[in-house]
Amino acid sequence: MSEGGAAANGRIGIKVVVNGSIHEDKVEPRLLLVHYLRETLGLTGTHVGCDTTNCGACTILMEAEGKWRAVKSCTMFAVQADGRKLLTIEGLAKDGELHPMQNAFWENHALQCGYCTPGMIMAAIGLLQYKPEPTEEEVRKGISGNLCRCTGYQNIVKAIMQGSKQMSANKQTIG
Amino acid sequence: MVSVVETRRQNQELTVGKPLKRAEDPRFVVGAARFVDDIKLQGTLYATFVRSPYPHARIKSIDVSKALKSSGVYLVLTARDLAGKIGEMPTVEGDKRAKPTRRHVLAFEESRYEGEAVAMVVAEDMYVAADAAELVEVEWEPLPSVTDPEKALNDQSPVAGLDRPDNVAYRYTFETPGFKDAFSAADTVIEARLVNQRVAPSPMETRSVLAVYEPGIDLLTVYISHQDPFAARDAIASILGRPKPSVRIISPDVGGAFGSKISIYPEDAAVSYAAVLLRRPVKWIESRRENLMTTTHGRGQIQLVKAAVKKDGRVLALDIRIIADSGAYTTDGSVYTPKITPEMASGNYDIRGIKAELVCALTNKVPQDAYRGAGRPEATFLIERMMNLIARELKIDPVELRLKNFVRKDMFPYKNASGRFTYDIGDYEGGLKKATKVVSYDRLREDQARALSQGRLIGVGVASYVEVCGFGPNYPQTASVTVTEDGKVIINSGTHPHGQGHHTPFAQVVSDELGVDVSDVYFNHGDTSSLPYGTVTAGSRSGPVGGSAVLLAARKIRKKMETVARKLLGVDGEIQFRDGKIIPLMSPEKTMTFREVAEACYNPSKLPQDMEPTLYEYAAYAPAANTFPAGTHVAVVEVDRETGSVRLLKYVAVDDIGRVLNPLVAEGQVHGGVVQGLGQALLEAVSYGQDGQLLTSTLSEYLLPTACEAPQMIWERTETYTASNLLGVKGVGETGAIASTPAVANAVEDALFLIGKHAESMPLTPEYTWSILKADPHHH
Repeated sequence: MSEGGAAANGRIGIKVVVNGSIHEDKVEPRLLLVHYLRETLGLTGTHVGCDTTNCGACTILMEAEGKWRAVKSCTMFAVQADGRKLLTIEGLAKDGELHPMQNAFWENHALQCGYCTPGMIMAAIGLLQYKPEPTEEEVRKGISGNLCRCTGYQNIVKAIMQGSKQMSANKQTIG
Repeated sequence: MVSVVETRRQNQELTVGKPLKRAEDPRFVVGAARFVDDIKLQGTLYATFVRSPYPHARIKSIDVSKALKSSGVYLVLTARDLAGKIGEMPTVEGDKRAKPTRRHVLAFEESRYEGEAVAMVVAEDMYVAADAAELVEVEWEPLPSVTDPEKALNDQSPVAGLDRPDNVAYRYTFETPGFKDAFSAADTVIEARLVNQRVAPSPMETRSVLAVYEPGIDLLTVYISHQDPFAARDAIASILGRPKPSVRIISPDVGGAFGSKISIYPEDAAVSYAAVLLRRPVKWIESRRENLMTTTHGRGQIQLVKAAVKKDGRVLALDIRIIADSGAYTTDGSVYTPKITPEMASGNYDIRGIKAELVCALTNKVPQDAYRGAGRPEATFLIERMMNLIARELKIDPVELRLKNFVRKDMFPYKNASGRFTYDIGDYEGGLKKATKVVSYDRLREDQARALSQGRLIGVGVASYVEVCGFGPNYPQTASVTVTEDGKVIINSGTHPHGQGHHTPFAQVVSDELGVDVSDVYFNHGDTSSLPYGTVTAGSRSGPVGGSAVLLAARKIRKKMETVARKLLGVDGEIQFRDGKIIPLMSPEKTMTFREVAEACYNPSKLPQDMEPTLYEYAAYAPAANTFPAGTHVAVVEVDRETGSVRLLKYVAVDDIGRVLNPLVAEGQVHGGVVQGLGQALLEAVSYGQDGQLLTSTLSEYLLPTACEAPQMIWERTETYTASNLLGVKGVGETGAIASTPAVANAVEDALFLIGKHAESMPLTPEYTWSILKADPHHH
């Protein structure tokens, strides 16, 4: 944990690990986590699609009690992430190699405009943390908090099924 | 006319028609795409808007002094600050029947819908801007308002806008010569009132603008999430009173549009003006609440239909009155979108007489504009809902009724009932028969009867459609093809992709023409500085019109390279372009690589006399004729008798979209369109309260389909050949959304018919369907 506490200008110090890198910043208490990621850290792969936690475009992974969970970063303040490990879409590919879930989205034409895609991929990986081999029905339920207006979801479901199989085969849980 | 990419490259397998995965996807899946809000420029200021809380009000005064005094605020603008500095928003053009309205960039004296912008605050960040907007004090005088378009046309109705006392934006009527005779020959007249509710296009990326002014070169660059960069340039130039060359539009990656990003909005002009004034980049990103409230809505028609029919099911004539809900201002979109509906209302059928009246009513809502299909889904909805009602009334199977009325294969080219469109080619019977076969229609009817005997309500809904795409020759689409000295190819596309995936299908066209690998074809879009002209991505015209422009430019490149190759090699006769080589057919031993010839084109000494060096060609394509995609979709639903909820059991789409450039991409368009259309049938409705307040201002109230509501879809095709463009492509962007709304609504109604009930409006939410199920049939 960082020292925390209100700084002189009303800002609060936070310390987070994002995609493996440590970041320490002083932030306004009301700063949304998604704005911290996008504006402060420049990680613009995480998108904002609504104001009410309905669309899931801002979904990232956060480690809590040793487990990775999908969270909607527009519904958390940056200060609430203090001391946490976070993973965003930018942290998935390793050494220029797409993550199996990213690759499955590409292979299966699971994106069109691509705006919901990062959140959808993070939600899919989040789902696999507690359901490593989901059925199609479970995939549909698992991503029902993520809206896509382009694809009709059919290819997204197909991609997540393929991505989950590949991750299982790799004995891979996250990145 | 040469109608398809010629297959003269005998030995090279064509790439057109192959399901190649999309070249642009890697940047999206790793989070490296560049949407407007991802562009971070130093010194950027943030705009936010003060909006009307009333559906209709007089603005008595605005006090911005407190907002201006707050720390971090750079500018607060109201209509008074803009008066005489910039122009007004465009209204309607070109049709004298349309009644223009005046619309200021920021509402002046009168605001006409909830959410209309009355002031803009520009501050150092979005949080400060939002705080300061709270400090702007507006003195309002609420005025009577009207949101129901039927009521708006009553003499006693409040006016939606003080400058149009009759609330009429547009009136359009026609009657075909044979109408009266056809109508009077009927055995029976079947009447219906159909409600095609207003819906919100809801792209996942909201509207976004970032304007940057460079005083030294007097250039205003506007990054904007848009479907039509050149029209955006022209509109911003016009409102700001600037020459067109001094405005550059860059529409980078765009997160969906569906018709809602065709027009220029007040915020776009205000933000652009602020950037010029402040000489700082100014950004505005729309919130979802603003999107649902102030971004154009689609559909919104009340259709009163009388169908004159014979006992045997032949439909003779249609008498239609349509009241369209245009919203608060007359715009091109709010009147020309519904205009197509009566013109296409006879659908796939050989109906000879039609009488139509369209009245576009002004209401206190955000203006209506195109939404995926733009006027044609409303036409298909009208005729396909009628076919269902006629089938029930005459006790004829809905499939049989359609077969009885279809325009037959031997009747093309076929001028439709309105006389406004001539369908070039189609096979409606073939499409319907294929759909019924794939869905096992006869067995479904047996299953339905069996389920009913167990008390379950299964419904089968059929919708056939024909639509019109391309919309030439008034909107020529453009492209350029450049071959660089290293033998790589760049397409600059006049048509803008925002999910449709132009890159790969267009690269496939170029690959087949020039014999280069698809992966060597680069793709640029959305920058008005890269082409002389371009037109809108709409009407499913990117493939047929934009793709043809790409082909034309590639052909010019090919011609030039052939000439150069002949000179270099000293050969005559046919030359093949394949596998990255340029091969003289008569002396193949003289083969050169594509790259070598490209390189030579940059070297004046190697070129024929009078030939200009470099390798760049531009093409503008303006087809004289439209295309007419057609097909039949079948939806199977179960209606839960206890809860009223509707579950999709099966969905089959059979489409004739002509030649397919890339089936992976085409099928994706169908999937997305179908789910958007079923969203309208089952979930989506923009709704306003009695007092004119918007009730669906978040995605908690405005329900978009999730993965749980979306069915597993089966897509099949039939193909008839169109000569309306160079590629033989008909267009696929809108077919799904056009067919699925009536297919799903007809399926639910088919289930309700089983127990003697029917539904008048949409969406068929559990609550609505339950209320129909529970209503006492004797008091229905």
